Amino acid sequence: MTTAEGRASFATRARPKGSTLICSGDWTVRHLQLVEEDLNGVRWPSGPIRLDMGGVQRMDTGGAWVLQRLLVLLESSGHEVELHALAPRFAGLLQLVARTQVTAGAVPRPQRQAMLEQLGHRAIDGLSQGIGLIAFVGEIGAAWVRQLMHPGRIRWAQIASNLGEAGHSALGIVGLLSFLLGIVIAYQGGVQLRQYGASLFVADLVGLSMVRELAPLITAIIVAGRTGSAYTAQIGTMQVTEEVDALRSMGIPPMDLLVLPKLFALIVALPLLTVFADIMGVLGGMLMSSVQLEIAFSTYIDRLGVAISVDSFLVGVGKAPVFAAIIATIGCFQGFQVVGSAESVGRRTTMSVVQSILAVIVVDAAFSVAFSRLGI
Amino acid sequence: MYGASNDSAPTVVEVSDLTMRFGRKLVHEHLDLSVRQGEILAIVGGSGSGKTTLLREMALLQPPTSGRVSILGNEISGLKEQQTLRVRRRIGVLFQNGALFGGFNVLQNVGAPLREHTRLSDTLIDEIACVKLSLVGLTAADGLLYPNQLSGGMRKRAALARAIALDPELLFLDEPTSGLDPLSADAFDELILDLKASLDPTVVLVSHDIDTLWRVADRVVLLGEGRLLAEGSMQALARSTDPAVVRFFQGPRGRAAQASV
Ligand SMILES: Nc1ncnc2c1ncn2[C@@H]1O[C@H](COP(=O)(O)OP(=O)(O)OP(=O)(O)O)[C@@H](O)[C@H]1O
Ligand SMILES: [Mg+2]
Repeated sequence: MTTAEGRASFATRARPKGSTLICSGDWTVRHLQLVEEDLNGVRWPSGPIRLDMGGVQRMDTGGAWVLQRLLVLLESSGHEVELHALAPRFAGLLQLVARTQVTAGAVPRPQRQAMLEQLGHRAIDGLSQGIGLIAFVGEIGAAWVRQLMHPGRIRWAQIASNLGEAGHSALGIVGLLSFLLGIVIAYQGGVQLRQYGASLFVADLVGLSMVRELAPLITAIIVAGRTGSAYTAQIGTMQVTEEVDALRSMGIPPMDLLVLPKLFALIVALPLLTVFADIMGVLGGMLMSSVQLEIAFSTYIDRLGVAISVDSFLVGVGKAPVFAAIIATIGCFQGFQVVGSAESVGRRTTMSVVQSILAVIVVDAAFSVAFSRLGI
Repeated sequence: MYGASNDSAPTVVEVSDLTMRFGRKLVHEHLDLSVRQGEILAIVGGSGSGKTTLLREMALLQPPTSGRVSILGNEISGLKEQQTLRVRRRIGVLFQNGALFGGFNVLQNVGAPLREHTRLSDTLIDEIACVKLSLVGLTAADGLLYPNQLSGGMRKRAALARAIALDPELLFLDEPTSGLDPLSADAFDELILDLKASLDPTVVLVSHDIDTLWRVADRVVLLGEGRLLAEGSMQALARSTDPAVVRFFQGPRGRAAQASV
């Protein structure tokens, strides 16, 4: 079997010659743009027009459509058209296309919205998202209360597997990043502190900044990117494949099976991860201090004991469950917002990560202000 | 051979000594099959007998464990990336669940292969897509709907319109009528015959629907136990005394379908 490839040289052309249009070559979608260009360039003379189709080697429905469109165009502009030497098999195609009764203007266009209308829709969407999120939080609360009243319905197995996914598997990345962060802070701070002969305070610097602020924050950000996105993608895909509806139809509330275990698991896992990040960050700082500032491990640790109060530690770890609740809630909420397609899953996953990181940082700032007012 | 297919027609798909395993699971072994130009070949068999798998192997979507597949005159195993693409452009596949792109509306779905493989103007592509929609019995207005807004039957039709977007020489249909009500299924059978008459592709279809087999198939192959159990026209298979064939075609449904022909 031969294909049209490599035969472009005997290209498809439609040329006006007097009142005869000579058509030749391959009238197939692969070569049709040449026909389209030629036809656009034709200035039609008045009077009858003969279309000489004798030279057309191949034709598919695309080619037949172009011919049909041409016939309709010519006839509607008052020409008498004669179709000459069209091979019978192409005539069949032409009939087929004519039977579909599609006309050149029949292509439906999605309605374009005016700018103002779009803006309005955006605003309303945003608002209803916000209201939806609040309602979702309410539903979670209600489901939580229901479950506390019937502790037998708590899904321990789900919680355990989520705990493993969100907590245990994240140890590596959380540990590595906070260790490196500890090193960076100790290095940058150490250079400055040494100038004032206050090298030893590098332990205060690393310890306090890690434990109070950076460890909870970086852990939350990692978990939002890692686990929050996974929650959205999982629930979103289940939404697309109607698995969520299947659960509902079996009388299993999706809240109980999909949301609460994730929420519980993350509320437990994030503080634990934060403590782990505290330790790794401080260790990173300790290593750097000993290398760069020649502070002995024991000295560093002694100093830490003085610098980090129990309050500071609790402030840091105490923020983690709040962050966890934010991440899990937004992640699951966005998952349920998915409609229809894989593309929607992707979009919602992005939104979930962006919104939860934003919310975590805003809430963290609010905590900072509140704590400083309270003098903790 | 029997019916409309004819021995002298060139072979479009040739499968020989084909074996397929998923891990330890054997789907089929030493399978030989050829599809001749212009025929409608139906693959039948129980659930899990490997019909979809065989179709995917023939449609260049699943490399077999061993054996030869040659399609439109090209031996698959020897094909380079570029040649594979060229062959793929000449075949159309209707997937079991439609596989429409969820982010595109129907018109964009049908226009996608044209947009990818030709340099036609957007207007012309949309018009051709409308022609294809009309060919499969959808209206131009349906073109603006998104796949999740379609009924099961409309989804099948839209997917078929996309499969025939490039006027393929070879069309693979995986369970075209499953999930359709009897009337829609009948209409879909008509549609396949219509397309066959007008565009004359070679068609390989998988179906459980015995009515479809009677109405559209020139030749039927029965898969089971990892091999080809029987092959022939529906009339021939209906007369067969082979126990496997009798079991498949002579159940109450099979007899009812035959009686109605
Ligand atoms: N990707 C895969 N991995 C493992 N096993 C598979 C895979 N795809 C198919 N199978 C197995 O191969 C066998 C044949 O599957 P196939 O989908 O071809 O069946 P089928 O005949 O199309 O069935 P149905 O009529 O239900 O669609 C089944 O037992 C299935 O479990
Ligand atoms: Mg199948």
